[in-house]
Amino acid sequence: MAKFSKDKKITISAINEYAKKISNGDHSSLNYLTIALLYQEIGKFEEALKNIEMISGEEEPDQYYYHKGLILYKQGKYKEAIDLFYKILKMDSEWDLEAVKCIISSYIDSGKYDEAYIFHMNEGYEEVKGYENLNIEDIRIDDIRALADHYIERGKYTKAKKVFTKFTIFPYIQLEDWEQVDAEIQRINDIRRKQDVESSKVQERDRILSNLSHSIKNLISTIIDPLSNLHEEKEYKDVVVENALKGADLIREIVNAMNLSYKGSIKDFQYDAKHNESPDCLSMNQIIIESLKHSVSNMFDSKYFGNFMRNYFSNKNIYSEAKNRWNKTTSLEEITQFVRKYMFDFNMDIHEAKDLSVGNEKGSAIKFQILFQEIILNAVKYVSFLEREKRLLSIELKIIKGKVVFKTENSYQKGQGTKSTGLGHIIIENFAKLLNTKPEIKQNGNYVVSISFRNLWINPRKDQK
Amino acid sequence: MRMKILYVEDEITKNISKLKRLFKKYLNEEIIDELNKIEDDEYGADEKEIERIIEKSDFIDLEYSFQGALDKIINNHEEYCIFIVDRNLSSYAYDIESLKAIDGSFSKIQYEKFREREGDYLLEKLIYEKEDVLNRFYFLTAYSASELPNKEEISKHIDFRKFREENIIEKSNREREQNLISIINNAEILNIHFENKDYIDFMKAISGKLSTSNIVDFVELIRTQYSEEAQTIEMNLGRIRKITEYILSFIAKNFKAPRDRYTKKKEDQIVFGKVVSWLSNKIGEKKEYRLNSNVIIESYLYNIQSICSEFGVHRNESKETSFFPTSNTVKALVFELKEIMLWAKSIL
Repeated sequence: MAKFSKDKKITISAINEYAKKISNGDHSSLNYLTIALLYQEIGKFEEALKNIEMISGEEEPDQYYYHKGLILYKQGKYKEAIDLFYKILKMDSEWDLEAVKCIISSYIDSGKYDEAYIFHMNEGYEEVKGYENLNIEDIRIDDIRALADHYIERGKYTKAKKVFTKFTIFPYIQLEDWEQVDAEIQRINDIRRKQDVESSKVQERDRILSNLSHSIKNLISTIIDPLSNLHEEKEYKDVVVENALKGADLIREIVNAMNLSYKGSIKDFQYDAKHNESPDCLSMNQIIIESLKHSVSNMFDSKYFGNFMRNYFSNKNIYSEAKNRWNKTTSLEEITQFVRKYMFDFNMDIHEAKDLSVGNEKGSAIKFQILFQEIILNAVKYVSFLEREKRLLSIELKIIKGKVVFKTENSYQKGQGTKSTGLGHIIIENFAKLLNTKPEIKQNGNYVVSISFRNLWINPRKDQK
Repeated sequence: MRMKILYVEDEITKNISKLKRLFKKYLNEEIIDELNKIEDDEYGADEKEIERIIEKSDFIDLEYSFQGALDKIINNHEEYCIFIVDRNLSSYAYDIESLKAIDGSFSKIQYEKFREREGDYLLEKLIYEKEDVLNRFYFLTAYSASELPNKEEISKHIDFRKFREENIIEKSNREREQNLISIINNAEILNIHFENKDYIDFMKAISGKLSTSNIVDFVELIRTQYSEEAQTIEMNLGRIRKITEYILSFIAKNFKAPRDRYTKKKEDQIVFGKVVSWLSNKIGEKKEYRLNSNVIIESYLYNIQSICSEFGVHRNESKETSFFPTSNTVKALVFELKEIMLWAKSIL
């Protein structure tokens, strides 16, 4: 057989040479086959087919089917090609392994992966002559990998693995084959792990977005309805507008908190702890007191915190009296007296927080405020469900072994739930993550939330000493 | 009788404005005033107070707890023509035992499965154990139909075209809410009850708590009075006769009409014409009207008696070829019946 050249001119001259032989009367199948193969090489498939048709299919039908099938395959006529390859498998032919490989290639290239899979798993190799001596080198590994990748892309990892484990049933599988199969399985496992991590991140993101949009839309609906009524009635009502503004403020707070909880790192906190002399700096002490004030103020909001408000102020007289007094309350001492009188037993130990000031250039002061506000507001809300004499809230901030530990402890009614999207919890966890820590929750009679993070106000090296 | 809307919303204290928007048509001035006062008051009101005010309307049943809603759906579902349910009812605490007392099949499995989508349980309960309400059941939710979590069961109903995405009302979507308001405002049976409230209240007053058949007949009469179908006209004339006779019996009994105004066979069965003549007693050439009646009442009663007997469901076959009444006759007699009701109400 002629040596095939990549040079088109040489190929054409070779074709002419064989054509000359034929015209001289040598009509052997070999001449036609060689011309057909040469035509294939230069992409002239119709010419190749014409020459293949000159071979007598009666003498060596399997060879005829194979070469014709191959040309049809190259022309993209996969179905016709597959039909011819299957004919080979029904014969006692030396071309059977090639036919198996071509069938798989044809199915894959025509996008019929499931057919390729079924053939590969169930019909393919066992009928091949010398089956017992097959190894992975005998098959087209790229096709098998393409088949596996098809299932990996669709998240069907077990199926992808089976494509390779199929080879382990070959009777005389070699060690290298085992290793190759293992490597492929490992590759699939790695892809799966990576995709699982990515998909759980996406799921988590989707869940948070869904909860966030749920909360916002709920609030928006409580704003839209009264404003729509106001619009229709063409009558201005101060309290309706005020409530709508409160609702809008709550939305802004949620979005800000959520947004900030995903931004930055411990370095920002370290920076703001170091640059803590500008006018917008706050001490941790101030931040905690402001958070408490914010939480208590919310308990006067009948629209958005109505059930908690009624738990604390059981009738309008008590509510009015308490609200009047709250409006005049400013100092920590007054706040303490107020909450003890109207709300719960209260202890606060935050004197160590006085010297811990934080700037807001990188948003740390506001982040601490949101974090403490979320934790304290939760405590103030849930403690309300108990009878007055059982209500207890304590807040402390301490420096323990180089760590700042913020802790709230409150009594609570077991099994008492309120409607929640869990956003508060996400916000707390996210801020803790930014501080390289995790919130710790204990329920041992009381509900205890603590966050312990590295003391940002001392030099880490000094700390280690 | 389906003459109410069941509205289930656990966060009702936050949604007074929505309440006013959705049910404006069916809330009278007094109710609106009370709700406005709550909105204007910084102390607001609790759920029970809002429920008490809303239920003065007769047309809206408000429920804020899952437990209460389940009770209403199991025991009174046939009273409602529309169900509007907030899908997540977890705001108001509930426990398995209390729910089990109302619904024996409720267990920990349902508790866990339907937590934070309690509305789904109410829908399942209704359609699988009570009645097919899918075309008049509306979910209120902060999610849009496409982003609704755990919506397998709902999707199944949508796939079978029994439930539509339009039945899922996204709370902040004004267009969807406007559609719901339009559905509420145009609910046929509810409208009939609303527009004929005085007459229906009168019927209720004289029918006793257990007898609703006259009210059902009256509502059906109002609903179909415009029909030109001969069979419906016959049925309606029969209804007018039946209702009028019931009113006359009540008057006869209450004002102790003489025994000779009753049939001989049944002691409590009046003879229609005799009671009418008792009301307009003829003394010589003069007529003496009893019980504040007059020629209007007398004429209307005779009209009803003669026309309804002649052309009602048991009409005389020999009259087949004479002029057959159209809906004009039915409508005219409905107005006459209403006048009789107003008169009867004034003397009772």
